[in-house]
Amino acid sequence: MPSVTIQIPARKSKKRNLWREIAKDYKRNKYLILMALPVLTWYFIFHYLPMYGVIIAFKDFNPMRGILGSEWIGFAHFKSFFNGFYAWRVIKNTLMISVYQLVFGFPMPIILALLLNELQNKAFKKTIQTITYLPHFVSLVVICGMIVDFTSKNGIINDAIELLGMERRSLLLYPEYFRTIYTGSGIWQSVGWGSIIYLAALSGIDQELYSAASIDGAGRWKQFLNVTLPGIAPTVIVLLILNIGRMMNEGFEKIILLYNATIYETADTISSFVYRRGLVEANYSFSSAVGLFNSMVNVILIVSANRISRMVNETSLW
Amino acid sequence: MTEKSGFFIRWACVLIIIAFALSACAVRQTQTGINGMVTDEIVFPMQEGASLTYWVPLHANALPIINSFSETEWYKELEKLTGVKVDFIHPVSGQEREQLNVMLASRDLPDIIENTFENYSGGIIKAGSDGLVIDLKDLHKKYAPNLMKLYEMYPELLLDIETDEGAILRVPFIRGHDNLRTFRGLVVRNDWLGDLGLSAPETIDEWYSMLSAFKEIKGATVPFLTSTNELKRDYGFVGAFGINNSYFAENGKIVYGPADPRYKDFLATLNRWYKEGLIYSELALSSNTKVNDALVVNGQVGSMMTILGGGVGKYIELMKDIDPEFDLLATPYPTLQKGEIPKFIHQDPTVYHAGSASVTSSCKTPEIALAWLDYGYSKEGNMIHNFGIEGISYEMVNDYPEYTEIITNNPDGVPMATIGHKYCRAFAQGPFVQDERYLEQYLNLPQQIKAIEVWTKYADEVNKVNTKVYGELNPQESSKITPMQVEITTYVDEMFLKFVLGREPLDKFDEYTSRIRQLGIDEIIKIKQTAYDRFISKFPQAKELKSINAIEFYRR
Repeated sequence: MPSVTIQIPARKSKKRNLWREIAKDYKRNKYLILMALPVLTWYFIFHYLPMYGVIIAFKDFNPMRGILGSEWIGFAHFKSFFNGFYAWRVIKNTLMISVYQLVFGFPMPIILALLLNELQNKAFKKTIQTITYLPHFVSLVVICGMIVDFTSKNGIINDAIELLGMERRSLLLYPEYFRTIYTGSGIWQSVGWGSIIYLAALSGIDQELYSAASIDGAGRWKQFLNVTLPGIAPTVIVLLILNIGRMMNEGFEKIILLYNATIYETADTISSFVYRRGLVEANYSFSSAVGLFNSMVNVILIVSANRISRMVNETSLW
Repeated sequence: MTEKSGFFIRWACVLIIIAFALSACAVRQTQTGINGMVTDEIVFPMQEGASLTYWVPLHANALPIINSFSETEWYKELEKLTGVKVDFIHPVSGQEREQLNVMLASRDLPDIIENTFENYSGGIIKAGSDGLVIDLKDLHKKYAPNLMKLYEMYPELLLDIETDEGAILRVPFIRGHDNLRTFRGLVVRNDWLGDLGLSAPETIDEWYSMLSAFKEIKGATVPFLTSTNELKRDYGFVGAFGINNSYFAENGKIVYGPADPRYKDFLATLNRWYKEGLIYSELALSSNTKVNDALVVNGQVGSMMTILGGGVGKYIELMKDIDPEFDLLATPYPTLQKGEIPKFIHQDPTVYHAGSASVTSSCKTPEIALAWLDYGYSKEGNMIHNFGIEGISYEMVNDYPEYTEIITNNPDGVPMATIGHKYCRAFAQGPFVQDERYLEQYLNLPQQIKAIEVWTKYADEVNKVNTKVYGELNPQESSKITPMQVEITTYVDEMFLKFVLGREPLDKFDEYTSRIRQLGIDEIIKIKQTAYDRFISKFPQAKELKSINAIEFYRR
């Protein structure tokens, strides 16, 4: 299996004066810096400045006193979260939904892209692509409305269930189905859109490799194994690492649009919990603390995923 | 990646970190206090011109015709008469809670906020002590002559307005008449009752046999249409068991309904009804008006809990052409024994906090804000709020303000529930005294008139028993309660549905109550009891309430 390596030139270890270095860099890259400036300003103002707000996780935030004026209370919010009755349940639910998404949701676009790649008929291929992209462009609220409809007692899923001779039931009322519904609908929503990047990677594979392989006597299956798969492996791995980094970040929107008190048991996640406590009940400090914890877990996940990937096959994000 | 850009990135990082550190050090110093300009009496219309900003949600019914209160006729008239220009800020419908919380956190406050503050953790008292809303009491003497006179005539109103410390944080919305306070209750298909030879059900047992008959004989797929929210209201079926779904006072003791032994009977009843298909099987899913309407229109629904205008009125109107037999009959709040008097009925408080306005600390001219709000309590202000403009939206006929055809039979075909919002405020809540004569003209179907009569039959008795939990908590008390209450509510919500849907057997009820105790219910009740006792010892008259029809204030 040919491995892909990214060459990183070794840094010179000579220590020089930093300021002279900066000045020299500036002279050399004046226009580049100028061009990057708006982007940097954007990141600075909208992504770094607001970050100081996370300190409210350690404060008793009072809107009138402001972020800096509120009283410090240390780890009280973290303690109250972890000692709470629901902490482990929401952590577990978040993890489980993430694992479902990763195990079932992640490979789907790859499989779709590979299948599409094997198709010879252009018109058929385009039709399939359009149909699978479609749900991506529908607003989430509408998607969730459709899911509620489909899974309701008189919905189409229940029509199918009845055909199979089983009893009709409102699927969103059973905690055991929630993860399946959530992940399944997630795949439906994003499989087409997600496959675009893999199709791009596939079209980047040098066609001569296929010719060479077929001269060597490789059939389609062998070509697939020895040319196609290695060709898209770096893309797959980069996206996998990114996905792992997002693991605990299930958005709350879809959850709160789908869940109800009967299925909190499996459906209540960190983000929906934070939403209820923070935005609905105005408990900003507490929900910042929970959110911060969540982000810490994400950082750990993405760093370890990256390291593992670098160890195993020399491809990594950084 | 080349060496060059590596340096560049490093350089950029250094910059970012420096700037980040600097920004964190920069302490915000501009903290504007309340510059209460001391002006003498305010005379309307103000010559020098003044302006205010006002945050208030728009009623869903108003959305088809107005985008802002500034387009309404009642507001234009008020502006003309007071010379005060008000800029309204309306949150997106359905996101009022979130938007208010975000606005409060940003400290970018308007001058006036119309809200209960019940979602601000610690409530309005905390908002007061946090310095978000200001105490208007001292300003009242000078700038709120109408409110002062009203409170003089009905001092009981202050029970719900003044805090324990004697601060006045809100300008209230007052339901001026008992008939305005009760508008939600149970209704059944009157035509079906006739076909089956049944009389209106009064007890839980009668309900059971009626619902069964609806299902068996009438073939109703949804004998009782309901949702979790409806079942969790503090009246209706739960009231029959002598409890409610939250806290109430019983002989001076605070009780938490869902942890009370009587709650088990309530759950058992619902569970049985659910199992036998007597109540809506999808009740746990968030209710959808369109789905509900379709069920009613298709004749699948035999009974429901609903409101007068958007329920009884709407369905009778809808069904006029579809099924001329269709008729709805309001039934009394159910009880266990026949002839028993229910303890819980739907009765909005006279002082209804949702429509109450508070002046914030950002307001530079609180006296103008208060005086402008107070104008709504003057005789002219009251007529504008309730009926709009004489000669346009109403005419005085024999001393009775009759809405004109613009409202009752709009030439553009806009329904009354919608067009009303353009001319007056009585169709929604707000800081004024609501006039029952608005309702008399709005809800004029015989079924609606009958419903008010049936539902308010025991209003006096209910007032006398007065289960209301008085005593607002101070900030320490409420910050102690909140985390426990949040967990209890989540747990109760979850278990309620599990018991009703039969996912958990009712034998587990004891386990359930002990879990609630574990989560701190005793502590909460103790705190609430202290606050209640504090309040009652101060205002013993609150224990037995007599009804106040505050609209009489304008009819002396």
